[in-house]
Amino acid sequence: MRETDVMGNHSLQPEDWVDNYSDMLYRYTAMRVSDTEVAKDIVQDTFLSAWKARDGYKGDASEKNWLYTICRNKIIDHYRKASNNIAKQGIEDYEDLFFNEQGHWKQDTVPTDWGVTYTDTVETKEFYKILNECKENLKELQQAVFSLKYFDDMKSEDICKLLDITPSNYWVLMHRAKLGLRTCIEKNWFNK
Amino acid sequence: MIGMISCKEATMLTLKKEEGKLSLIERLKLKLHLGMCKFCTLFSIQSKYLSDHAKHMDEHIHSANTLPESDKIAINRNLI
Repeated sequence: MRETDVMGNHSLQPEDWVDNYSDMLYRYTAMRVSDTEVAKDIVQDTFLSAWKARDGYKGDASEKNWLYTICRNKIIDHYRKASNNIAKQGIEDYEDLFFNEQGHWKQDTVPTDWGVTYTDTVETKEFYKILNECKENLKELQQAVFSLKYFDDMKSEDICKLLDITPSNYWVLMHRAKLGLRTCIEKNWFNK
Repeated sequence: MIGMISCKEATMLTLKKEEGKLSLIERLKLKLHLGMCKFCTLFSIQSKYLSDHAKHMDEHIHSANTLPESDKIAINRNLI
């Protein structure tokens, strides 16, 4: 099996794609899209699109990076379906779970001290599992901005462009994401 | 003019601060608020804590999650 030709260009080995990349791409997707059925569809679509586009593959990116790029674009398409509604109707306005009309903390979401040294890093797997579950409980677009910001290390301006949302949309989404995550992890990990 | 801001506004400014997006006025407003609000001070510390941990999440939760065999077979059937 040769993965590069005489010119040093990469070539594709579609017969090995699923063995070599399906778990990798699935983990990548499942971290960014909470619905596992959607995540599976995205991985399947990635391979199908790659298969259809195989003749156009120039070999300048490695097979793996090429597949990742296709997969990432599918994830962003999925996010865009959710952000389309925002462009049309504005952000869904529902009852504020965290603050009252004066903007004060509500009783049951007031932050409490977690009793940890906040500069320390937690290494326990269980903590990250809960953190991930809390993230999965956020609404789709809150998760989208959160993932793009913290998993992909993107700048807020670029996230706004990618999702076609305004900076003020971005801050509202990030605000709700962080508040939701904070309350969830406090309830399910620190105060358990 | 520095007016008082609410906890809702202060937590929003905290997030902007984390991303380096505060104006001078906003920075002063936030500082003034955090100086007298222990809840929002806790929020700002915990928010940063969550951001820092989220960046490392993929190293910690990945390994066990695999695509079910049946899906792999289905994909292969479509490809080859």
